Amino acid sequence: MASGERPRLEELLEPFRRGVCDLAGGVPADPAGHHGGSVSVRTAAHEGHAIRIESSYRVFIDGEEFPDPIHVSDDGRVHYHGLPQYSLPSAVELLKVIVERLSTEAPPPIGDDRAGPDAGPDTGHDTGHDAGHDTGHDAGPEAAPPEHRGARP
Amino acid sequence: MTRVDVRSDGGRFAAACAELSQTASGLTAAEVDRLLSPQVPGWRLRGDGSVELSWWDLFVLWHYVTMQLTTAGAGSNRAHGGPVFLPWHRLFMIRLEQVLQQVTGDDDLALPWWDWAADGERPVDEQHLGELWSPDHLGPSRGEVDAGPLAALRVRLTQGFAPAVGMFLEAHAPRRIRREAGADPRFGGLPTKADVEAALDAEDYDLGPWDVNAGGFRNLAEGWRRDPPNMHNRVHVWVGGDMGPGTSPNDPVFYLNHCNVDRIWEARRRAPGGLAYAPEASVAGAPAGHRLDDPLVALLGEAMTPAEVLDPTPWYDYDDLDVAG
Repeated sequence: MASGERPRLEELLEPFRRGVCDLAGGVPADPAGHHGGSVSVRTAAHEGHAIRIESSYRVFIDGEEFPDPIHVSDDGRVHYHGLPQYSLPSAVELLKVIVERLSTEAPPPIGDDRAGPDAGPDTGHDTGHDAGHDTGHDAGPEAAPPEHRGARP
Repeated sequence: MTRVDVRSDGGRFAAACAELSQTASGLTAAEVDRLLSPQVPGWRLRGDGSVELSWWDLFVLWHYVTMQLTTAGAGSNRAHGGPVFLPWHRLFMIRLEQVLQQVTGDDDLALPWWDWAADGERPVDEQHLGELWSPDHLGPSRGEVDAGPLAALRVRLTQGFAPAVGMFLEAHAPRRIRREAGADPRFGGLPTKADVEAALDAEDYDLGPWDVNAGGFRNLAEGWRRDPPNMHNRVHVWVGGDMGPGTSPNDPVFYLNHCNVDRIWEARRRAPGGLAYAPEASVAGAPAGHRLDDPLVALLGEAMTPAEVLDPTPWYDYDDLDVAG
């Protein structure tokens, strides 16, 4: 489609709906990215010497290991993929921000047949590649009342 | 089509966003889960699979999914922490604009911009009290958005966190937007005009290592460098609430922020000397997914490349590029 042309709604959604939308466009995710790598590597050259600093964190919240990696940037500030605009001066400060946003209960994975209003206890298998170990909770959220109307043709 | 100051768009954009959030996409959360789980590393969709997603929700989903597609470099993914930050969000906003035009039947509807640096000149403790946060515009800056056209906007996909799970995406019953603008003293106020001027002084679009540690205009505008402090990132954090996590497009303020960032980029791009995108594919060490001719992640519609969106005038222009004035 030429620049400036306005595609119709159905055209925009159809590849995704049919499962033929290649999101990554042939560019593989970086294996050392947020999900696979928990080690931050900082390097510098100074007075003829090569400096390499590897940093990693193991984080526990209420005794349970938080599975997502925390990263350090060259200026020593700490950031977390789940809060993509935050940059804090220490891991403690960052974890405080995360803790302030914790869910009281993690709902069950949707890929689980038990998800939904009648959901039973969550045994915690996610559909992704790096599912965490959920400790289990009882109910999903209440069913959403239909609020939609159809799109204009 | 011309993008104007949000204070002069008469609430048109906000009303259109609310309408889009009540326009069915025909997809449920369970269907989205089936479609995306094979493609997206770390995919964790939880909650109620029967939730019927709106077109608004699909843009939230697109942003969240793109964030999951990591690239080489510290803090980098296919939309953030690297050169593609500006062109990816440009494409994302063009698509939203196109969808809003169709759903509302308003062919001239354009995203408005919010000059947050103008509000950043006000005392920090007054920044959340401006006209922008009145019912005539965006509604309350703190708490649930229960007044103005955005009171009708419904959120169904949000990012959650749990100790042993980490981050996850949750489909849930519709609820209103939530904000906490300027309520967290740890993060200070909005960026200022001086911050914008400092970003405009950058001579290069981006530089190695092409990530959150890089020099250049992109990283200053995105906000990973401390000087000037935080630009785009600071606006997300300052608004807080639904603007904090990877599902931040739930709040239309997301688009006002990015539209202003895009406007600043356009002002710098058209300034004498220009600002050529970098890196090209031939640059050694340039990260895949961020190069001039790499595809931008597109959940809706065809993928384009940074090269194809560098000139936005086939789609829109700005009424005012005096971004530091």
